[in-house]
Amino acid sequence: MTPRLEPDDDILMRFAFGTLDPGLRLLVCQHLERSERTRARLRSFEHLGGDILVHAEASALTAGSLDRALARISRVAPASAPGAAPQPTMPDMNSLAWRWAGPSSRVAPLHVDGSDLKLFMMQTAPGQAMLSHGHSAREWTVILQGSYRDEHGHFPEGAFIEETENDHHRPVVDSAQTCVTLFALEGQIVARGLSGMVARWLLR
Amino acid sequence: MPMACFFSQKDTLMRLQVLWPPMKPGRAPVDEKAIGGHSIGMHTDTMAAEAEHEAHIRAIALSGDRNAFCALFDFFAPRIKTIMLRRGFSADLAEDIVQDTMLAVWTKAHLFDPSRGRAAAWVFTLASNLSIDHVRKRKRQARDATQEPDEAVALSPAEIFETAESEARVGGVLGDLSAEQRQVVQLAFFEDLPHSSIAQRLDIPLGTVKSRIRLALARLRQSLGDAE
Repeated sequence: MTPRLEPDDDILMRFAFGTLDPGLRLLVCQHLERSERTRARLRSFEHLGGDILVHAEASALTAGSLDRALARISRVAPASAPGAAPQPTMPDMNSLAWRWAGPSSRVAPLHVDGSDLKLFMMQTAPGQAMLSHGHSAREWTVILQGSYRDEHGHFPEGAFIEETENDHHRPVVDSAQTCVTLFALEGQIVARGLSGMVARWLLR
Repeated sequence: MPMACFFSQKDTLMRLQVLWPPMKPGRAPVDEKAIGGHSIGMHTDTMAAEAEHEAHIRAIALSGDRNAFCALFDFFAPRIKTIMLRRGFSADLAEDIVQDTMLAVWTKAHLFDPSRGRAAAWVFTLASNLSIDHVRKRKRQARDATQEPDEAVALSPAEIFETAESEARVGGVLGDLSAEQRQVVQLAFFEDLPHSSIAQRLDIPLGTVKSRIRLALARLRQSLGDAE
């Protein structure tokens, strides 16, 4: 089975429509920076949004709506692009609370405002096994640096991986550099054996 | 303030246009199917409008052209509101998002790159991104009030018909989908329902919801992006 290394249409559609979970949005952003193919696919959904917008019926606005907009733009120059960056940004890795996660491996929880998922970053040295675990619900991973291999195949830098419940895997880093991943969990880690219990405790 | 007077008048004019939809200057009715079918998802009329939007965005970026801003506001503001109402935002929130989006059009005009997508797609993306904060706030409020998340109430046959019916009026590429596909797209991406809730509401198996969404999205992508 060739693993799918990109987010599916459903995720990209939610991304384009602004309804994707903010945590998962961070993962997709990191993947997009590394995948021209997915950027092209996302553009087609943005294009769809534009098409829907153009064909939408016009709703009546409240009185003075344009005046209010004009008053607001009078206060800022065009091309000033103030704050409010809509895309979530990665935190500084040194600012995270790293925990031991097996030999030459460490993991840190990440907080993304408004997310219903549990987010983590993990670093694992070349040749080392990453935390082995199964899940009770879905898990998404994006590889920020390096690569790994498991029973499903090889996962290169930039890969976006979705795993469903009952998947159980045992990834091993097969790159020359440290493998850095960002992942999001929907449910609880299923403890299987000692390593599973360790994973469950670490990813609490 | 003569400028303000001028713009107030324009505002009134715009509202009149909204009240009487037949007044759509420069948008003669064109039968989409008559001009080479749907495959590129865009006909000459839309293309002319698109070129105009792009020119307006450029005019804002280059010279802070307020008239260009008014023209964009005329066209997009009432439509952004419709989209946000369909997403389940209250009229007040929808108007807030309209205001924020149009401000972003003004401040970010220089970032618009026509080679990366159309003006309408760019405006849509700005509006979607700005709606994220509002969704977050709404979620937090719901959580603070310890309300249960939306109960997945099954739709009555009349409501199902109504949803499909109102969606049928949607023009453009969404019109390429079957009524059933449009309905799941509406529930999944506008109303932001999880697949399981959609299955419950429509009283169909989860697998059917998933495959219907997958087929609908593949079809939409084929009609739009892949043709570019």
